[in-house]
Amino acid sequence: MDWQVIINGLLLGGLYGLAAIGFSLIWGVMNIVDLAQGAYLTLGAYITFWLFNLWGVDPFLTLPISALVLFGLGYLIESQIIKRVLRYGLVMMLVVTYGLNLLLQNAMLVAWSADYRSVTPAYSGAGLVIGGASIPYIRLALFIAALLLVGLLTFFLSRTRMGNAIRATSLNRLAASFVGVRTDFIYALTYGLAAATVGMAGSLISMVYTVSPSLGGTFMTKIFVVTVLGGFGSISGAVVGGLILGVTEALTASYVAPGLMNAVSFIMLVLILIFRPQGLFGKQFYGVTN
Amino acid sequence: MALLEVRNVSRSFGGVHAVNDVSFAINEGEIVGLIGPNGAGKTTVMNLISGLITVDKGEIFFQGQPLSGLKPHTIARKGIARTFQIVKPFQGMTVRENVMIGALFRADAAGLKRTHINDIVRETLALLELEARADSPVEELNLAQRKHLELARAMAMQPRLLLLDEVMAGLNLKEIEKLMHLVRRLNERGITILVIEHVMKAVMNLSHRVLVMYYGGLIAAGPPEEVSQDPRVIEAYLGKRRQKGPVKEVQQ
Repeated sequence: MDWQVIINGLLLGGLYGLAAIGFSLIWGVMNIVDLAQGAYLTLGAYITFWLFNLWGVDPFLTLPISALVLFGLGYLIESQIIKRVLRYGLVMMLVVTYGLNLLLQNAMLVAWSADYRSVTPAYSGAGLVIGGASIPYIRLALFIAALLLVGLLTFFLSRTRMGNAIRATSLNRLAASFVGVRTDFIYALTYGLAAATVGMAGSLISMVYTVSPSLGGTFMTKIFVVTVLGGFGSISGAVVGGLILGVTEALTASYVAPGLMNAVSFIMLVLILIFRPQGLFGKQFYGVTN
Repeated sequence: MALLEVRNVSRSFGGVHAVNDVSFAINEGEIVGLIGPNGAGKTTVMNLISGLITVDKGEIFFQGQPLSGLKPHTIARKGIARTFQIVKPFQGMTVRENVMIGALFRADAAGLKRTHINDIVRETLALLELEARADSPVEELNLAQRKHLELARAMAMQPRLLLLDEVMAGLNLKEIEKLMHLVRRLNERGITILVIEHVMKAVMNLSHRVLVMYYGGLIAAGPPEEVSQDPRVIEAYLGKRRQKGPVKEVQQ
């Protein structure tokens, strides 16, 4: 087996994991399948591209800006739009988030055209070689950054007051409100947080992919597969799911055919849904229906 | 001044008058029992007080301030905690974490240090005799322990008024004795308690006063021994003296 392929897959998988966390979190806490996540990812990527392109800001330094902008946008969208349609159920939420996705995607198309753009910092070519496998610095840095962000989010959810409120609300919204948790604020906070996470994933992704308004669509399908693999609502599951998808894609591309990458991913998705609908890793934590 | 005052409160669901022009007051330090046959509107009264549903007519005052229009979390932070007839723990968290959520969102929580929160949690777990299970997942608790947990989570909020919705239901005699003892102990710590209960032995023993509801209205109020002799209450529970002659069989 070729280590280079595995390493490439793992490095990419970290990004997939980070990209899927927001989607998983929203499902876990609010029971919404959020199809607008792709647009938030694209927006994050564009924020990095423009900051880098116009002012030469280092792509890694754009992460907090992406996070802030998308948190604000997510918070606004939840408290102004989603909150009002939440009670109409799953299908309505699919329609609304799909609409939001179209709206944002087309707004970006109008504003910034369909041109493919790329972020190329000076260090994008360099790398190190270990035992015959070469690891580009930038990919390694992206991987580490993705894992750090996952760690930060996990810490936030388990150790802080607001994080605990998010978990409590996800487990039982009614009971949470009766112990003094402002659950409608928690929903907006969660949605903002999820948008910020996927936006930062977009920022990181812009360094290795070409940026265009359709970037989010490509990743949305991957987010689905990763979330199903890891189990809806599980953060650690999303990371492991991301790594598995990354490696599977890399192996398919180099040993089967690059064109079959998505086919293999989706066959995997269908098999998981048939044989282990709760995901690969045991029971889900979030999204226990009340 | 009464701690809680319910003034001419009504609430209908469609054509059903679940609560119809009900008024009562609860004084600081009391244990008040709320009884009545199934469907009398007891839980609706509790839901109205805690803000889960809104009143159609009338007003509810807590410490002299009206509660109408307030969300459940605001009412909770004002010092009204409740438990549920069907327990609602945060499944997936440990016992300790469940109680901690209560402590984290009490009215004064924003200013508390982490160590202080931990102290509150530890003390509450001890009070409700849950220390041994503190780090177990909720799923491992039996029903009696889950009821203790509901109480602990409510207590961690340091409420002034505690609403208990059928905490005794489904427990055996020994567990009921123990829980009664605990409820008394909470009351001795200065907490006013309104308790809905079907276990008569418990409610008659615990309560200083008893309110009786029947078809959405309040039909009697007073000390337990008086209320249990009230002909209207007996009628509500047992029906009128049966007419002479054989009982007709129920036709399917």
